[in-house]
Parts: sequence; structure tokens; C-alpha cells
Amino acid sequence: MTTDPLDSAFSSLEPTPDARRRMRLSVLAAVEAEQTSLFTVWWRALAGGRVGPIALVVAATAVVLITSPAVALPFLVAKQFIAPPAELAVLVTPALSP
Amino acid sequence: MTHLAVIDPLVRLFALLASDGPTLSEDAVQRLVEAAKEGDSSAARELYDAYVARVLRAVRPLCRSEAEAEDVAQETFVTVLTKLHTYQHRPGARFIAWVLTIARNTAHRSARHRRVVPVDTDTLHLPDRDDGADPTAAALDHVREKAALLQALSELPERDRTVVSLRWGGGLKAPEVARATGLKPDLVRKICQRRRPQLLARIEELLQP
Repeated sequence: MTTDPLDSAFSSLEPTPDARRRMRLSVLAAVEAEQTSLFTVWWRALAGGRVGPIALVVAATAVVLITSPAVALPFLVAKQFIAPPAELAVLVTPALSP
Repeated sequence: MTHLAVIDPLVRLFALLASDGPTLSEDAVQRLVEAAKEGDSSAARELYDAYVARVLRAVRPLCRSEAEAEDVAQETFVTVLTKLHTYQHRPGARFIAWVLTIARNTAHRSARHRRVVPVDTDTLHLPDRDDGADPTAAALDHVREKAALLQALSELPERDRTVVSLRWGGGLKAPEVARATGLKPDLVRKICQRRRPQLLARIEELLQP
């Protein structure tokens, strides 16, 4: 069987065994990091049917509620009426007095 | 005897160690792909070992340096292994064609970012030939062959360099190269037929002492 000389010439571009090993380590580490990221795990589980649509709706509702101003506002208002701790009041008082 | 035909046993051993692992049938590749999709890391490693040499052969002429080619090859494999779930096997379409399409796109993206013609200035100077019995002479021939090939390829227009690299570097067939590049198969065949003798003649000329 004859070898195409151009194919032989291209074989000079192949990586050395050392470069292959080095690159393999780096590629597999990057893939591992990508596959274990929280978003990827969640997305895979969803795509694979291991998380049902109800769980998805519950999670999405929780995210919306937590970030919603309607939920956050009462806490912000209530915070205005809560007196500062005694230690803080002592520190603040001299600066506020005439 | 041509310079390309002179391959010392040391260089053969080097090529054997560095080249692709045992050739896998397409069925075996598809089994590995399915296993890797399920998270089998040894299958992912086998896919990497099977194709890393071919990816580097194909992208090296599209890059400016050895380091850039390695970066492109690594980025290609990270993309391939993390996007495996999007890969759909079609009858008659080989997995390597999908891998090399990603490699070609990654190399072109890298080239666009650097905005410089991908001529490897390090390889423009061919080292002097050593005809002695020293075993390093074989390694020197290897380096000279590589430099001559890269020099000859850098003189081609980008489109033709990409076609030739995917055809002989990546080992794709003309219709696969056509799909990867968006060119018509007949045009790919014409480019290959025209450029092959030109490249061989230019390499021979560059290797003359």
C-alpha cells in the first residue's frame, strides 16, 4: 500500500506524546468543570426528565418571589421602624447632639 | 529519492507514538459518543485520543504558531465534549466531520481575533540539512519537512489552505470538506486536484539543499 506523500507531510504536524498528554489533562479538567457547574447539572437533569415540570414551576416561582419588590418592600418598610441596637445608639448619639 | 521518502526509523517511531490511536470503526465511535453523553469520562478520553492528532493536523496550517494551534485544538475538544448532547448521528456522516467543522470554526474565530495573516514566521527559516549518521539528523529532517509544509501552505489563499488542511490534515472526504466549509463538492475536488501537485512541488523545492 502506497502512502500519499502529502498525507505523510501532514503527519509532521501531529503533536508529540508529551503535548498530547498535556492537552488531554487540560481538556478533561475544563470539561469536568463545565459538567459539574450548577446550571449544567440542573439543565441536564431537566432535559433528561429527572426533574419534573412541577419542580421547575416551583423553583421558578420561588426565584420570582424572592426577587420581587412586592416581597422585598414590606421588609424594607419594617426595617425603618426597627430601632438600632443599643451599642450603635451610644456611638451615634454624641455626633447627633448639638 | 525524494526528501519526503526519506523517513528514518526514529521518525517512524516518533510518528507512531504521536499519531492517532487504533483506528475505530464508525459504530465503535458512535458507542463511545453515547457513553460520553452519559458522562463516561473514559469514553471522552478515548474520543480525545482517537482524534487529537487529526484535529492538530487540520488546524495547525490555519494558526500562526504551535501554541495557538494547541489552544484551538483544546478549545475544539472542550466544545465537542460539552456539546455532545447536541450531536445527532446521521447515516453516512462521520463523527470526525462534525469535530473538524467545530475545529475549523474555532480556528477561524481565533484568526479573526488576532487579525493577522496566519503565516508562521518561526518556520520561514528552514534549518540546514545534516547528512551525517547522527540520529538527530532524522529529527532535523522532520523539522525541515514540517517547516517546508507550513511555508508552502502559508502561500495558498485562505480558502484553499482550509480545504487542503481538512482534506489531507483532517482526512475528510470531498463532500465532508464541502459541508464543513460551505463550498460546493465539485469546487472542493477542483481545489484539491489543483493544489496537491503544486504543494508537493513547492515542498520539494523548499527542501532542496
